[in-house]
Amino acid sequence: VNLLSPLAPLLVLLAASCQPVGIADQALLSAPIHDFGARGVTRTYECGLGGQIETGRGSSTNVSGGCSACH
Amino acid sequence: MKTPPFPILCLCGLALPAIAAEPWFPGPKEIDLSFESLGSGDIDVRNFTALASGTRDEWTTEASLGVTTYRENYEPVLFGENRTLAEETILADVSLTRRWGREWAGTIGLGAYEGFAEYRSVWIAEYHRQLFGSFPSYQAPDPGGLSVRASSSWADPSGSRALSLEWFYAHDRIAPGWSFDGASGKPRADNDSLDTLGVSLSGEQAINGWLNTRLHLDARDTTGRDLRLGIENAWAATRGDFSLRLAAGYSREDPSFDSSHASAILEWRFMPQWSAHIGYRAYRDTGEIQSSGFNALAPPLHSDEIFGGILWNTGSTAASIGIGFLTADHDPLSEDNEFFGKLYQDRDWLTLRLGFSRRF
Repeated sequence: VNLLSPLAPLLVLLAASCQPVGIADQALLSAPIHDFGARGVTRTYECGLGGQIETGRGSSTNVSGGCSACH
Repeated sequence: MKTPPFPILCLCGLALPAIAAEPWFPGPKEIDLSFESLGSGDIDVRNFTALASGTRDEWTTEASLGVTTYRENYEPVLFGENRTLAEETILADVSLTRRWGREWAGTIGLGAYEGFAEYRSVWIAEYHRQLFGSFPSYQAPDPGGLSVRASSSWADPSGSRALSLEWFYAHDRIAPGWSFDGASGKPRADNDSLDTLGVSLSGEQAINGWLNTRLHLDARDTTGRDLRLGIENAWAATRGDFSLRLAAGYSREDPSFDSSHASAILEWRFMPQWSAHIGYRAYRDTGEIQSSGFNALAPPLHSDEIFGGILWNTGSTAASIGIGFLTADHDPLSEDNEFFGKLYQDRDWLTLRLGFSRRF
């Protein structure tokens, strides 16, 4: 519950917004910035290697959240 | 357990040209080349990755092969010798996706790497080598890893909403820490392997024709550690030639790790095939370091990055270039861990990105 509480207002808005949007109205949503799960430098905006410094933001390797020699 | 990444590396090496061969995959194909660099004055990390994907009927295969290089100027704090460290890591990944109509898809994937996973391990392994390398019982590190994953996704036929669920297991063979065994008087290696089990759930929703959002939840359980939980919410909007993406995330791991980050990206499409973007990201964490005792964990970190780039995209061919300036400020280390003061000193990093992709 504590984990979700900072984003509770957004979750409420997300739940309230669950109405289908027609295909004809989705042209703008095909832009790369709307593709949150994209990969590759041409479709993303932030350097993937930054995760080696900011370890709580995920990792570019198999290692889960941080330095493999530090455990 | 010794992981066997070489068969996977070979598989990816064969899959890349096979995917590009016309008879094997008559459907849409894509190649993607990416170069990224993260450098400060004394540490330089570079990654080059080639990816190919091909489609045959309901099946899509994707394979990637990459190399990460590390070059670091190792400077001990109290004893030891200055050295320039150079390491290479080979990474490979292959996946197979099956679609059932427009709504359902399932993917299985296999990944592997041979070498160090990140620059801190290279530095810390050298510390242990200089301290314990002269003892016969010392063994040089041989890091690498293997992972398997499976995912399932559902998309609304209208395309306005989607859900995906992923499970993964990873085995990492790490560079272990070393310490003196008081009983035998010889150095002894700590645990040299990590097993991680993870699951993530993502949901996307189009609010209207110019605004959509994604909520991402993940949980990871790693050997010897408590469960790490993470959440991230992102929103993207487009009006005319301008687009804006806002994201915020939080993760925590007992007993004392918390991190949060937030980012904003503004993109401007200044010509039909050209766009430019500028972004800012702030990151904070409470540090991995323990309150007392000798260890190599990182102290609390505050970092900020300003980044930007230009993209040329014809629809079938795209090329991009990006640059970023990342400032990382660590809290001071405790007296027990001053040995790692050079590793965790404040640094200004420069990030560079080059990309090319083509669909045919």
